[in-house]
Amino acid sequence: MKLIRFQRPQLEPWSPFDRLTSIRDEINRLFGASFPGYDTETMGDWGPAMDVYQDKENVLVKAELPGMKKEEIEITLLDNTLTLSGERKVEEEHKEGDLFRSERFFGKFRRTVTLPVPVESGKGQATYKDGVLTVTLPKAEEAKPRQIQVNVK
Amino acid sequence: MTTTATPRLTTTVPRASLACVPEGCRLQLDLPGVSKEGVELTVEGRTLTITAQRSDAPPAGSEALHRGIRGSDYRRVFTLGREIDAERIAARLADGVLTVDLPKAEALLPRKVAIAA
Repeated sequence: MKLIRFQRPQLEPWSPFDRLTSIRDEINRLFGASFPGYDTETMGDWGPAMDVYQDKENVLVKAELPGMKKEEIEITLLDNTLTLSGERKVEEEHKEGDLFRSERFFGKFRRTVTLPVPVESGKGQATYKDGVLTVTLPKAEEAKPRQIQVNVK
Repeated sequence: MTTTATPRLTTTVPRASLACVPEGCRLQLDLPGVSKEGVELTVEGRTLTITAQRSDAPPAGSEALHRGIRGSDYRRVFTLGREIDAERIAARLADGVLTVDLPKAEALLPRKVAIAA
C-alpha cells in the first residue's frame, strides 16, 4: 500500500480553521476513490465519477458534475463510446493574500466510456439535476433482448 | 481476547474549498445528488456539522455494469475559528454545490483608527 504523506497546511497569521482536512478524512477519501477498470479513459485535469447501467430498453450513464451549467457539458456519442467533456470554472477570483484552499476539482475534463451494446444514434437524452448528469441512450433494435418463439408441433 | 465492533463507514466526506477575505470566509462543498431538503447544518459551540442525504438512486429495474459513483450520504465536521459569528452563518445549495458564508464577528473586523490632529 502506498504511504500517503500527510501535509499540514501552512500556518496563516489569521487561520479560521484549525485544519481543513484531517488524516481521517484523507484516509476515508482514499478508500472511497474509484479505481479505473471498466473501459474508461480520462483526459484533462480531472474526471467525473460515473456509473453505467442497462435495462431492456436503454443504456444509462450517470456522472457526478456538481456546479456546472448544463450548456457547459458536452456529450458526444461515437460508435459505441460516450464522451463527456467540458470545463468547470472557478466561481470567483481570488486576490493576492486571500486564503484559498480547494479539494474540489476544477478545469477541463474529458471522460470516455465504452457502451456495452449498440445504441440508436440521435435518440439520446440527458438530464442534469443536483449536480448529477444522467444520459439515457435507447438501445439499437438488434441489441434489445427478443423472445424466441418455440413452435411445438 | 476482546473484539471491538467497528462502526461501518456509511458516509462519504465531501470535498470542500475555503476562500477567506478580511470580512469572513466562504466554504463550498461538492454534494452531487443532494437536494435542498436533504441538507442539514448544525452549529454547536465552535463546531459546524454538515450532513446531506442523496436523493438520486440507481435507475429502477436496471443492471449496474460499472459503479464509479460512491452513492453514499455525506457528512463532514468543521471547527470554526473564534472570529466567526455563528449567528450570521448562511447557506445556499445549487446544482449539488453547498455554499456556506461564515462572516467574521463585527467587533473583530479590522478597523482603521483616525489620528486626531
